[in-house]
Amino acid sequence: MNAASPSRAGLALVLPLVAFIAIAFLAPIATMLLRSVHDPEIAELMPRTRQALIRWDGTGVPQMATKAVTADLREASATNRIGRLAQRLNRERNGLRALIDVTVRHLEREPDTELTRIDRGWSDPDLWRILARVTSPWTGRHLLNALDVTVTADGALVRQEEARRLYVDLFLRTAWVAALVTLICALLGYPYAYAMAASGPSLRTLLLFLVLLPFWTSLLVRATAWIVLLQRRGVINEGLVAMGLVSETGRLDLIYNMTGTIIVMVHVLLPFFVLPLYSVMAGLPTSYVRASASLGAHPLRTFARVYLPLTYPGVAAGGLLVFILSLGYYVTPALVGGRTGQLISNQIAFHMQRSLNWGLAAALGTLLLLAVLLLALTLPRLAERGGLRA
Amino acid sequence: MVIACPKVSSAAVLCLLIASGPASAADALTIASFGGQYTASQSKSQYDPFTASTGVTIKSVDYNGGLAELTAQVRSGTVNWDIVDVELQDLDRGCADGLFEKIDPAQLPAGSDGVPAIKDFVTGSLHECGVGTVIWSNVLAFSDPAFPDAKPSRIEDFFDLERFPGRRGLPKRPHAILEWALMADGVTPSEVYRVLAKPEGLDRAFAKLDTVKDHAVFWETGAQMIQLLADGEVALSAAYNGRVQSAISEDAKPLKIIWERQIWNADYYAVVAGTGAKERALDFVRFATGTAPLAAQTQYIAYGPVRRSSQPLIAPAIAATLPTAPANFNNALAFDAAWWTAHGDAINERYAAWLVQ
Amino acid sequence: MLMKVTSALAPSGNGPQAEALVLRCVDKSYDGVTKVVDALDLDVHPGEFLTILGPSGSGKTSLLMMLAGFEPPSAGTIEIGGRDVSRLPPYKRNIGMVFQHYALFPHLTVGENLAYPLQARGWRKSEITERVAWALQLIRLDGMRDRRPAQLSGGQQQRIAVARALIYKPQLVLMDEPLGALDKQLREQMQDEIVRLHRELRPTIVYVTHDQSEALSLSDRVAVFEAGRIAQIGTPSELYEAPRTAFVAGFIGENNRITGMVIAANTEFCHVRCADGAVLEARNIADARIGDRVSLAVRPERLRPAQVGDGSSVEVEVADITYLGEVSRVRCRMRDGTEIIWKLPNCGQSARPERGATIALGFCREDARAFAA
Repeated sequence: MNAASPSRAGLALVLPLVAFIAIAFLAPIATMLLRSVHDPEIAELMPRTRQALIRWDGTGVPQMATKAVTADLREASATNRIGRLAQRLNRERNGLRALIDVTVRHLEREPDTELTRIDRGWSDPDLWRILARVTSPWTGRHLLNALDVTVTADGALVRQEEARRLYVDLFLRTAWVAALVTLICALLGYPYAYAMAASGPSLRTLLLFLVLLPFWTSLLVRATAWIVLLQRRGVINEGLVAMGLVSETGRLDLIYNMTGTIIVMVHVLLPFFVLPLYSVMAGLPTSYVRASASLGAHPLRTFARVYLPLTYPGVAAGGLLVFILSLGYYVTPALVGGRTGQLISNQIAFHMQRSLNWGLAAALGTLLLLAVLLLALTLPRLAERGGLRA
Repeated sequence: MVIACPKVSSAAVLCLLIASGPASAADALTIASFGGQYTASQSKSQYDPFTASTGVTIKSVDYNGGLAELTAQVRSGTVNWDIVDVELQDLDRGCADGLFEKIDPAQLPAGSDGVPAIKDFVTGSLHECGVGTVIWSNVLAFSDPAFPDAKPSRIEDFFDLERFPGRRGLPKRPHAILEWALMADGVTPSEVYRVLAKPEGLDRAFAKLDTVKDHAVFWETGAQMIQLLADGEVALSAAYNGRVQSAISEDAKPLKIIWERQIWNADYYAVVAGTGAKERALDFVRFATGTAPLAAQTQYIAYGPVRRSSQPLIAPAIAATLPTAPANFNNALAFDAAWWTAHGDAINERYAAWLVQ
Repeated sequence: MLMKVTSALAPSGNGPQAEALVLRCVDKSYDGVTKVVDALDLDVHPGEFLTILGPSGSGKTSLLMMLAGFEPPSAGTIEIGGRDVSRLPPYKRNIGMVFQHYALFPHLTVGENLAYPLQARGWRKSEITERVAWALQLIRLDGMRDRRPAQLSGGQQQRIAVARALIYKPQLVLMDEPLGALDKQLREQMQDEIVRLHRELRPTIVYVTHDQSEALSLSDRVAVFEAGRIAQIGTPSELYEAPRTAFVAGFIGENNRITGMVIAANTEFCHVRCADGAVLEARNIADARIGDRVSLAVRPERLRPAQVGDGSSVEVEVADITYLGEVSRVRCRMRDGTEIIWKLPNCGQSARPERGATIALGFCREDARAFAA
């Protein structure tokens, strides 16, 4: 290899990975971010309407736009895209699908009828304001919807009606679950990691094996195993009933609710807490603890003043990892979360797979990503201020 | 997409590479269906005989309904599925969106009794974009041991926690369960969709659902639903009749079906627009929706055939377990896919919000 | 102020005759078979600076671990200040310890590190502040109170580690190769610093090292460890001048070894014929009899030029000469190949031998010691 161009050679070596990350990771995220504010579908389906409404002053019924709508509807109908258009418009305002259907059917019979004479709905200025807004490819309404805020016809921002308010509560619930899972992981994982760091090689291998066991089984198998354990006629409840600790009718609801979500998530995520913490603990020289003991500190003081602060980077790393993974958890809540254990990712999946509202899914994803980025940037700094600067 | 591959681990990567390219190898078809018992019944009565007679191998893919995956395939131009098994509301919507090839019913074979296809298929089971196969039904099912004394028998009993205590299984989708909520609240079947279209009617349905919300366990797939019933996690659940019947007749689970006010629906085969194997796919659809394969399917799952000519070929014991049996069809409500297409968006959204709240 | 606190730091015990540290029949074995510390008896006087010197694997670290309480003795008793601490956990032993890599807490400031043992002992805040200030002054690092250890040099860190171990007047201070991580120049400065602190504060110190020059320059007494036992214990000059075994003689300072057979002996001296026929006279340390094989140890600086044929001299060929400043180091070889090192003071007028020359080297019989070979 030419000694004069080591940097170029090095660049060539990292290129496959950089390209992989760009294609497999950055590009989808960029697409998602874009989709949350850029939704050109209606604009593409109604290009003439869009042009006609760009310069509209927003009052009355724009006469020149009605012709454009007629032409757009006829073209969409001819190209088999009217269903899509009707669905998209209906999502912006409930009832528009029926209006589009009626109009298209009428136009098929009498192509040149004035829209306002086909249905009174076309005389509503609010409808035109909505059309003017939704035919713009750039939009903030997905992000607003993701915050349970909706835009009225005259452009004012109002809270979503109560029966449809969902996402803010769900974001808060997700954050709460993530915090709780992280806390439980910390309480269970810290002593476990310590036991691993303090034990001999054979016991350590066993403990490592046990904590990695969840990694070696599929998510579905794990969830199913937990269902067998936790359900009302599951192992735990049967045991409790057999021991007389709970009555036949008082069986505990351990799964298909928030409890189930948390139990299974803790199980799945525990390795992510234990492993970074273990590596910090294993790398910590014994001399610090010994120094503390030699200086007369009781083991509890040694733990609180020396061991805990020095292993704090491991706690922070593991905690952050678990928290951020929890925020995006999707399969586990879907399987064992029942109704109350659903998290924001389940809604993102719902909009991706079922309602096909990709704009809203992207907006929810964007907000989640922002929350994660914010945490990833601020938490370590906070942790640093609270604990260790060395 | 999952494509069957030889179980040689070293070949797995290669398989994935092959699988991710556009499908439709020279003599293969990829069919997406709902998996489990249902796909098994299709495989035994339709895929295997088709392969035996034409040599075309069929790759079976499971999906959970909905048009998301299909839309992505068609829009991106990488169509991997040749044929999909869809429900009517997805067929309607997908057809309007141009996701499916048109199918001319005149080209379907006549029934084994010579009746032309257009007359042999029951009303509504032929669509410009798809050919019906089976009639299946949304029913209520209960775990027999959960009710040692009086057994639930009506829709109203689902919402009567006092006389019939026990947890209720509800789907994560609002279809059928909203209709039942209104019927249990006193709306007659013929009025259900009219009432449900009004905001007050929708509120009324949700108010009825609220009465069981705290005792509800929600399921996503038919397999989950059966599991919940069989494990005794729920006492009474909204269910698909075919899955329940399989659990009863094949796994001897102590489950019972309530046919009263069943809400029936049909499944269709549709050919994906832009598939590279359109003719072969149409061949399959014509074959699979013939009299004999449809009749044969009832041996493996308790769904009724959409061809009238298939009825005489079905053993009486099996015929009695089908939604289409006269004793079961009493008081049945036809699922209104068009209504759901028109109103589904808002209701889906509200149901999702209701689930989480 | 300094005097008052210094007196408070004087070792406390049960009267003047109580030893600071007493070990009786202490054994340590990790596998139940090999004893890394073997039936050890040791007494350390209050205020004494005792160094445990030995090569690695000699058991000196195991001994230190037992003194600190990190390892229990397999047998025997350990008393600190008259109190049996054999089964006491480290934090109840009231000892101070200085570690090779300082073991300063990286997340605490210098002041917090120094305050740590005082807080553990429940001192009042004002007392702690006062004592920390005093300790910083003592080690001349007054301005460093709010720094973190990572911001200090190795020497500064080690001074703080020493101060931290001394600040609460422990009955016993253990130092585990505390200068091992420092470079040579710093090491010498730190030796002076430790000597000064010991002189000012008179703590009882047990100091572990494998470096014999460190041991000689710091200690009141040195215990040389060999295979889990004390080969010899004594003042630095005793060990240097009168090593009792060949191991000690070889381990402390440089020594020439000449083997031969005893041809005449009394209780004090013996005559030894070496391989090349020369007859040498030496102290009869080994209590050797006629016919015994012995090994003579002679310090290189105790050799002096002699005339060929003189008594107690050997004929050697000069192999090479290294100029070292105050002395020249002359490497010679006896006729049978035995290497002899001769350290020749560079006094200017004394004749320097030339390489390849054959010369005779002799020594006083008091300066040569005959050990069993």
